[in-house]
Amino acid sequence: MSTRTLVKKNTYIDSVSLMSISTKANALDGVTNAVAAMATPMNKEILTNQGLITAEIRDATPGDLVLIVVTSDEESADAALEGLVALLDRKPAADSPDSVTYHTLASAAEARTEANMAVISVNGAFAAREAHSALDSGLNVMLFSDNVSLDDEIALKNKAHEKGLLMMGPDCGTAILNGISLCFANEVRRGRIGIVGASGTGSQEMSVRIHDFGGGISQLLGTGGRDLSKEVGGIMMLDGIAALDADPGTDVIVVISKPPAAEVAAIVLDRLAASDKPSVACFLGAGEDIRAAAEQRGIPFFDRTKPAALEAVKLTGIREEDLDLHSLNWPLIEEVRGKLTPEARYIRALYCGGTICDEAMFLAMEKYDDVYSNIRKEAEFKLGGTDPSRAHTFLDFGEDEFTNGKPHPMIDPSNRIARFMEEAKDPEVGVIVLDFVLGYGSNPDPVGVMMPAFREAKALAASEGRHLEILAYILGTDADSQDIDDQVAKLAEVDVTWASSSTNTGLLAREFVSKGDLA
Amino acid sequence: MGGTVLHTTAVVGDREVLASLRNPVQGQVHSAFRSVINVSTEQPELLCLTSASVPRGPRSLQLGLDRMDHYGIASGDRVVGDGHTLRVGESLVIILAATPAWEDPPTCGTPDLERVEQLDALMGTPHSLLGATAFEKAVALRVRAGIASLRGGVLAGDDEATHRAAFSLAGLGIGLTPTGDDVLTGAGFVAARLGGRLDVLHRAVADVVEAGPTNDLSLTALRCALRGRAVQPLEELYSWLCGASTDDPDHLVADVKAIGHTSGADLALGLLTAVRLHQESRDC
Repeated sequence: MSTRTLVKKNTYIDSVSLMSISTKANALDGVTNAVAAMATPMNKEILTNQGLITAEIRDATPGDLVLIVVTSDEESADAALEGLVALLDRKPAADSPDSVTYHTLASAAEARTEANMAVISVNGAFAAREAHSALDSGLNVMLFSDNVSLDDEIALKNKAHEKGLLMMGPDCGTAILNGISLCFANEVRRGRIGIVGASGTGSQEMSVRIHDFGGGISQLLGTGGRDLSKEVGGIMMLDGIAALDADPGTDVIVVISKPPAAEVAAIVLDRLAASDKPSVACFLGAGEDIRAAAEQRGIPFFDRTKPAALEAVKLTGIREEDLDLHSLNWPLIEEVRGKLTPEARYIRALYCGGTICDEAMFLAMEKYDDVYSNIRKEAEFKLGGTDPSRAHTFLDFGEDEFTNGKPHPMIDPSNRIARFMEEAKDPEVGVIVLDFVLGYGSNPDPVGVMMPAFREAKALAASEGRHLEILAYILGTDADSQDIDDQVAKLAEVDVTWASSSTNTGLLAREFVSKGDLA
Repeated sequence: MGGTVLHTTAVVGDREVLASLRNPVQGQVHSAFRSVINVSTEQPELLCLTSASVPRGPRSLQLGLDRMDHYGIASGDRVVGDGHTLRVGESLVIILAATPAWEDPPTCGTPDLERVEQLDALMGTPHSLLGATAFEKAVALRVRAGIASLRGGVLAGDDEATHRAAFSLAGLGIGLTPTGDDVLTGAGFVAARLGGRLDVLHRAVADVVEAGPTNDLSLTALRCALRGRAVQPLEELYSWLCGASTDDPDHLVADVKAIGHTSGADLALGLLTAVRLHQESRDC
């Protein structure tokens, strides 16, 4: 008889596995006895009585796991212990055996000559260096990282332009290239409409609305939110339009951005006008000068996403009369107005998506003068992320002040949940607006994460005899993995109103708290 | 924008745990399994993070996840709580805001004799009293002897004998929480609920906890039992025994037996042992 023992320090294996291992070990070739047990004093006493104790086992503590095999012959003892350890160490299959790790972008580019795109998501302090490395290796770049300086962005985009490469970003969260979604993107139908977006969720919303209206996306190129600033000058937007112009799979070009610099908007509109392909421009919050510039060049112009998407699909031949346009539900608006107390007169909007926050905010600003936000440019209406809300408040939780050192709120909703609970306590709040972004990269159950908070907020308001309207928009499609129907059903379960588009969300919010006047 | 981390809410949490997590907390992953991650903090008892399929229990936060082993979390990973969230390793953040608290069932009187007989018949002989391998058979013999000694000590009101019996069971046997610990947990839970002549049993189990001759997981369960707290299936079975529920005992027993490999049956063995002791001591 031969015995082999092994003590695994501080090793906890669940009971079912431990028993299974013990049973299998006792069935191994040549094994007459096998033990897998915790090294408690009582178990050690039994092992002593059975002649199986060793100095190592005697020194083991109750948190240690003892493995013992007894075999009928010396030859099979080592193999039996190895067999027992192998049973213990057996793990589910990890990554695909085809996956390879490279330690630098340059070595990856060298080894994978078929690759033409690098997606970079590292700390902003190192992001520009990695992006330069990728461009120098001949790779197009999607730079997911934020906190990259403006100077670095300009240098990177100029380098990419000279090399004929795409430089999407920094802070570029969305792209769909040849049907492949990168970072935050929704599962949308492939089609003939190409989008160049200087805004992440604006681009997502555009692609989702186009999908909802029966259209499809050929390519979705992101530029990063600062591309249409005076300093960057739209370098990537112009290159993106040129790429779509040359793409045989694209029939219609859509550009979308938050308010651009007027002189840059004019250059972009000139480029669209120069294309043989029909185009649509959607510049949220743009002034009359930009609208006039677009009209002057014959480019259909919109400052809301939904009508822009509708125009794009109509340009591909889809007829408006065949579509469900989801017009505003006025009976619902009247019902909500009737429930709110006179005191409950403000919108508090807590968004993950910056551009769709902008869209709702601009819609509110059309109607109200007292709209404050962490993304407003005007100092008198600017709020810090931790400032208390004032009148109508719109917060973009994707701004740097919230994301520096923390994941994006589409992944980590904790900041937003805490703020939501604060707003729910304020009797001046009529409606709290939230967005939920589905698709790749997003939380697997974004509405589910908020359910306890919804219940608590509703209960709190009810205990104070007031109605609290919660309005939610789910940015997603019927093809996204999160199951949009399930997400909508969850909202209904806690009496949260669901808006069918970003545009309708802004319109509904402003009308809910309007005291009787019309839109 | 940062890396991908799963953020999830806790579906329900033990009130004690939720209260403690309102303050900043630091700790590390003690052990990680398919459905459970145990966390050690500066508190003596482990914090138990469970998937949705694991029954509620003291010291636990139940998450709405199918499994707990998909996030690369391993023993020794850092755990940090800031009062609003609990970050576990690099890949899991639990959002604590508005997590409903799990309430202990109310105290439910004393066990009904007929139901005790019914339960005895339903339970059958636990695996731990039989044993398959040489080690398990040796354990089974000692468990039987330990329970017999425990009975003798409690019925005699003999602190020293009960103390010896409890220590003969502590840390004894197979499984992550050894059989003897599970028996003591079930018995200690009943002793805490019923008191009276079972106080001697309560004191003996408290001695075991004080001395700590077993692992941290068992010690956490034993400490909770001494406060009259146990995993939900055992609580429900006990409520039924006391006539406080009309649930189907077959289902209740099946739920208890589903705990761990042999742990559920061993917990029920301890519970039944203590309940019978309570009845016998009242007969005197």
